[in-house]
Amino acid sequence: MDAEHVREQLRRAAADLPAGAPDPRAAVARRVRRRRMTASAAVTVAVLAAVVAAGLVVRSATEDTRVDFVDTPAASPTTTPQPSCTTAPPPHDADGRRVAVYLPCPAGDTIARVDRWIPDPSPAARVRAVLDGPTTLERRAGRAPLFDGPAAGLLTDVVIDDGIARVTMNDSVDGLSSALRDADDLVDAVAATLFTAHDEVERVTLAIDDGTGFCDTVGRPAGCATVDRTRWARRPAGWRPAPAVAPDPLGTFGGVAPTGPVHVADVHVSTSGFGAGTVDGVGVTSQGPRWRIDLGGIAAFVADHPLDDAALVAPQYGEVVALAAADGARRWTHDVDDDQAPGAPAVAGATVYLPASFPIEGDRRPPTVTALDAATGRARWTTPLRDGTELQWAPPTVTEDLVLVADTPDVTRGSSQLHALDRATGAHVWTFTFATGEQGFHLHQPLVHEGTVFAVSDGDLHALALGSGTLRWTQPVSQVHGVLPGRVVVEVDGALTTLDVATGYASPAG
Amino acid sequence: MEDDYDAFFSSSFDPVRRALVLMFADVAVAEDATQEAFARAYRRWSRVSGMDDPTAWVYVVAVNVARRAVRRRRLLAWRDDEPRSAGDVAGAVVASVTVHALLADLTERQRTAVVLRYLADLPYARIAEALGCAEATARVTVHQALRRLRATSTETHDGR
Repeated sequence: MDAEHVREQLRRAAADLPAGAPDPRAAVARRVRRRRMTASAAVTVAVLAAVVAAGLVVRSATEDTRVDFVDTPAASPTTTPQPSCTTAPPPHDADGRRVAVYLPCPAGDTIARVDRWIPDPSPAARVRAVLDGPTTLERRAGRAPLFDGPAAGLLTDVVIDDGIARVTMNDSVDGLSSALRDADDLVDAVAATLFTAHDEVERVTLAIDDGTGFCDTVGRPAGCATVDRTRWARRPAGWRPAPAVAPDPLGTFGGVAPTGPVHVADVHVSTSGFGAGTVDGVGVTSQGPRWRIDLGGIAAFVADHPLDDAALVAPQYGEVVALAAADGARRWTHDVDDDQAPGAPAVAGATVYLPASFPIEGDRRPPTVTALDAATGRARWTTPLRDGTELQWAPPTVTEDLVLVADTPDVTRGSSQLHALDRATGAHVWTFTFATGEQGFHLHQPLVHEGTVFAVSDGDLHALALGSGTLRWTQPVSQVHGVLPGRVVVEVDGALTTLDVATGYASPAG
Repeated sequence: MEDDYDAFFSSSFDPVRRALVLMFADVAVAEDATQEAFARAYRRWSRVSGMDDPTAWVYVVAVNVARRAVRRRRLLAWRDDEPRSAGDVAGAVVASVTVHALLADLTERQRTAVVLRYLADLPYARIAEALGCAEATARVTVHQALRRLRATSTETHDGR
């Protein structure tokens, strides 16, 4: 069979296939609209930010916002359990509903956040919303937000009747899409808020009636979603939604990079987003902040591990500053280039590892990683990385020997790279290039477990050898939730599963 | 710009979709991946339209999207988990088609390569991008697929 013959056969086979779904044009248009909404939200953010820093480029958050529950720091900040990263937690508690998830260890030996509560891991209870038929909702305009919680600012009215909550959302579609990437996140955040605030609520029905068909725009056939409480583990006594991952009204970092609070002695230091741009030091017992520092509307990262008795704050533009927890006084500052934007810093031992990029469009100067003395702010080394790239928003991952940081090339070309630098000298140890087809947007902090680096790029989880950066395996995984002995906990199409660290297989090896 | 894209859509959407069905033997995956690829083309149409061959770009994107969808499904099928509930199964109804007899003996990778080469007329450099491999590997894959097709066709004739 020669090539010409194959060609002819293929043409015939293609022609014989049944017709496709009706109106593909409309289906494609829906997809385009969905993305456009995210883009227009980014424009809103950009306008606000431009007021405070002319010429800056605002990157839109592209990561999922998640609703987590963590031990409430207000209750017992000094006794919050901080097990070692190497402690092997049981995957489930007695009733099989709780998974202890270990987040990356920026400090080398402690965990930033401890347990994460997730829904019952049985197949009947997926992480994502289970959609019901169309629902309707009466709008009661002009009511103030009624609830605390991650989605509080988005709720304008809630009617609870017979265990069913009917929710009206804020009108601003741009704000919604920016704060919460799609309807799944929205539903999860709203449901978690209501389940947390009202024990009697067993089901949340969500519809957004703003006249523009928001639900349809974000990919819903019509109406919106219903969520039952059974999708969420019950909130344990004394727990509340983690403020660290509550979506900023403008989706500042999309939950990707830390904005606090970090707990220093009896003070919690956190930052707000664009527009507000303040750093607050909140005392455990006081209602309001003990001190507040105005960043002039610029959003900031807060290192999720404290420096002795200070918190490290890296505004998106301007100098990095170590603030005394007690009174907000400046311990030291580190200035970066005028056009340079600090990223989220990592604190490990007596050293701060600070990524910084040149985000202004057309500025191709290489981003840098700088090691600073945590006590004085004095620079120990600075390593430039690739021209024309920006570094990940999440802080670098620091291991015993290495600093791991990923870059993102200009969106029009190239792949992301993961760089491993020598922790003591800043020298390049290895580089891994992600084989992404389009563009590698790499925002997550790489996670290290059992000699393996786990990094998600463009929808694929890569497992690399920590010592060499050699690729061990890849799997199409959208999110990594943590690790267990010999396993990595991942989310695939909204379902949780675990993969073997050595092989990447979902079922146990052999 | 709209007219331009419109013409592109009219001439290319259905051929791309049909090629994807042949490659992946799955109507739903093909449909979804083709739609996604055309949506991405629209969003960056100013750039895509300036390319030598926008259709080739769409093929590469669509194949990448489809390959990932197929891999995700396989991964979920491996889950050491309870069997899926009826609701899940209903929610994941996949309209599969029987691969055309001609292609039945090829691996999915070989099918993708041979369809991109002889139906879509893509150059090897683009096929390599779609398969995520070196150009030389793409050539070898197409070559192997052709050899396999020859063998199959001979067997069929002998068997008559």
